Amino acid sequence: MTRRFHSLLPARCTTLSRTHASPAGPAQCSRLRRLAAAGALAASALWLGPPSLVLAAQPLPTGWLDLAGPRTPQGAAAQPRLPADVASDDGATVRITDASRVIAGGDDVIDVMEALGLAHLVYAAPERSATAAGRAAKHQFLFNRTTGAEGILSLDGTLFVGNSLRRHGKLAAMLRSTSLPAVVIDDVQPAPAKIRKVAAVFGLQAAGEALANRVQQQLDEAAAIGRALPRKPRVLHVSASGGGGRPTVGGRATAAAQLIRLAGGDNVGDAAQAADYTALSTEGIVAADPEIVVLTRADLELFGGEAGFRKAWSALEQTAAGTANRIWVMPDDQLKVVGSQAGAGAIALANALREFTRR
Amino acid sequence: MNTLASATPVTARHRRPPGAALVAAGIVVLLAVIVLSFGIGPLKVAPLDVVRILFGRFGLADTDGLAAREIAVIWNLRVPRALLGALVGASLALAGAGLQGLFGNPLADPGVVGVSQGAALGAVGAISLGVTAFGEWTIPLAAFAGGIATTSLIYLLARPGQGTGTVTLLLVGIAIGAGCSAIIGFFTYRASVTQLQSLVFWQMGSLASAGWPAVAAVLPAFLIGLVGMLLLATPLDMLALGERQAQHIGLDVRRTRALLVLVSALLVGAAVAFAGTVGFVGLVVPHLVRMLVGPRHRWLLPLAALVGATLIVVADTAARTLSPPSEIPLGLFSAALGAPFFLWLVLRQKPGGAR
Repeated sequence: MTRRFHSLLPARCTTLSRTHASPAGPAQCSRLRRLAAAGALAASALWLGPPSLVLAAQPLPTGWLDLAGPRTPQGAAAQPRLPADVASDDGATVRITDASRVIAGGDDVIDVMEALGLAHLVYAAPERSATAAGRAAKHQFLFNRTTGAEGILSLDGTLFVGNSLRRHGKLAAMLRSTSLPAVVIDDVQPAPAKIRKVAAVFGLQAAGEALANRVQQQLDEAAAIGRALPRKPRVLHVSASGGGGRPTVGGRATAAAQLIRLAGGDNVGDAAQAADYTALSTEGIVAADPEIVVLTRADLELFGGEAGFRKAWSALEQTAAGTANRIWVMPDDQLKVVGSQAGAGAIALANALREFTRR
Repeated sequence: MNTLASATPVTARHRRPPGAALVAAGIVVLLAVIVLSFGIGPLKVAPLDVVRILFGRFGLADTDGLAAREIAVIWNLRVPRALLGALVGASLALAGAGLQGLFGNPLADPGVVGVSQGAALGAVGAISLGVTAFGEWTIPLAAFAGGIATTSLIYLLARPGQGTGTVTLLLVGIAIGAGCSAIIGFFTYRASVTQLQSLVFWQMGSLASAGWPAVAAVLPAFLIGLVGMLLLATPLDMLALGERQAQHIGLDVRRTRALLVLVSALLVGAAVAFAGTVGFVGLVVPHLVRMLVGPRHRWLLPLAALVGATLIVVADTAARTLSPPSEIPLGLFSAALGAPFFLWLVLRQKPGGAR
């Protein structure tokens, strides 16, 4: 039966092995686990919701670990305080006067908007968004390098918030030249900094500061747990979105790699000498011998469930993680998105690594 | 080697309209297509408003009451984009016509002298290695430098001036082009997911980042290339007789060859730098035009430029309009539009050459 692990549980109940004796009473822990599992399912239904992520609500394969931190709650509906003058990461200063129809460039931006209570302002979002507000947006579109300035203008939004200097820097400049306010908040920056910047776009600096501090505290807590680990377990983060259809591992600059290191793990993908997601050879994976494999629910769906995952990563059978069936599955926004849920994911992962190293 | 000249049906010559008339018609069609493209796009702007905006820019119409965004969309997005598309299409077609004339080979295109692969290698290398030294100009500069450097290398290795001839230039170009492709493949193999997306889209061509600075950068190279190529029209006609015959009637073949390679590299390097790899135009447009106007380069070159420009403006208008807010890569559209038409032209020719 699938084991469910949540940071909601007391540490003494977070036993990773069925054979490991739990210091808490078995009945108490069993009850708590059931409650946590029910809560996680409810949260999945609420946050991951509808049809595109049906698998997300499905039980995991036997022996796999469902790893999720307590979610940072979505803020009560708020209204922006405008006008606001914002420094975009591409160097421009942008005056924002109307944020009633926001065209968001990425899930990290939408995630922070949700946490600030601004979900109702998300007017257009990338396809296959992992966020509830993104999926509920009026327009969903294929958002990549082919997205044109005029196409964005045709959506009739009042504000564009991009999340990548590389993808959206030039686009934002073109949009501003047509008098559509456009801000870029680059995804490659710590979650608290990003939260403050997104909040500033809507004139909600105080709320942003509070949220950023909360996430920072969570990250600090996870880092403290990570530093106290007796050793650094080898953690491989795998993704289904790879080059040429090949699955990839998280390179050193990915959000997941940073989170793994923060939580006290040794990110196997660092050895690939790549910053982003990159392919790793079969022999390279066997040689790295990861002890734990971490992936997201959304990626598991993209793999096509357990069968697809095992086919794509057959080399894992030759590693410690594969032999022990030590596969941990996390929510997308707690592992791959640098946003309001990053701290919760970091704590969950750090706790799990602590339990693992204690065995 | 005189494939192009001999492929032209004698009987067809009498049916062809005069070159000057075709060029004049080509100019009219291109201007019409460009102006029409100003009014087509994902953002709806009424045709009358487009006219007012265009004339209003020169003080010939009143633009009061028009939304500032509509004016900005026309002037900051559509006009420079259409102009850049025209320059890119004309450059590629001109270079293709010139190189087919130089090599006397109907399969010659800008890739033969390495400029396309070199430019692609420059751009792909800059993306893969994360070079950002020149900001948003980094990739165009890397592409231009890559194109020119590769062409120079091919020319130096082939040493066509030392008696090795055009065939060696062609073969060295193919070899170096294959080498460039291999390195591009290696960069692609090593690329991360984000880089891979950039590489793929760059190699499929796009005018999405077109703006006035890009037009200003490409225009001088195009004008120099256009004038240079037109000045080489007569030498190209002489080369169509064969290199030896051309030399006998007084053509400095070595000099002509060097100039053609240089002008082609300049044209294609500048075009590819801002539009990415746009296939088909350089290879097929000259053939298409040759069917209309015959093999004489006096009319072939300007008409190829006009048809290439028209094709790219039409293709880009479709690319940016059909799937908003995304854009279909330009390279896909240029081939999708041109290939069936070209196929139709080829198949309707009878075995004897007459249509």
